[in-house]
Amino acid sequence: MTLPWRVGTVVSLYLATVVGGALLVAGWYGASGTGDVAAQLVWLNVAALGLIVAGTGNVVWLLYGHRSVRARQRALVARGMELAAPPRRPTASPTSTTPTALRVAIHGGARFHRPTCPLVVGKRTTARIGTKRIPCEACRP
Amino acid sequence: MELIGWLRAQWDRVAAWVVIAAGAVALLLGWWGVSGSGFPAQQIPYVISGGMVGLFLVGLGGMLWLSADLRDEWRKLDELDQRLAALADGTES
Repeated sequence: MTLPWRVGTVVSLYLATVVGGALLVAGWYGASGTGDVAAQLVWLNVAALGLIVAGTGNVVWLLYGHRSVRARQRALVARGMELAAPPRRPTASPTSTTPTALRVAIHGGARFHRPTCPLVVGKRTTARIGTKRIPCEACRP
Repeated sequence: MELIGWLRAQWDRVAAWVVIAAGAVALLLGWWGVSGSGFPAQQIPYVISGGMVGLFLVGLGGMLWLSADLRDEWRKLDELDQRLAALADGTES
């Protein structure tokens, strides 16, 4: 079984929690050992630093895990879409002229299409698609 | 036996509740200590040992609980990954 965290992240969390906890204990120990309020405030700051260190470690841990889960979800969705997509049509039949004859483009358009693509049906097209055009995302020529 | 199995499977959520409860107790004790004295020199140690340690424990418990959620989600993604791999190999229809 895998986990959404790497070893380095686990070590960071442990370090932040242990250091934060130690600073809290040190702050309490220092503050309770003196009756001088000014000195106690210094130890109070030490304890506050411990709280910040531990809190930062926890937040980084959760954000890292959240990001890993989301990245994996996106990768799985892309893979699922790829599997669910209909199989590509076979290339040109022996009776057709050339494979490029199955593709058309609109003058000035950035994409090339199948002649049956709803985005070009009824429009003036050319079979000269050139090399700079990109395939249409709708008909996937 | 069922309880032990459940505790083992949900150790992080159980630990989260234990730590959150400990944090709540620390906060209560801190409040009790501070309210029992009128001298700041006596109150500040309670602020640290009760208030700050209580916040630390509550935060730790929350982190454990959310980590358990992320781990569950990751486990479900593991299952999906395996099913997709089986689909790609054609072993699952």
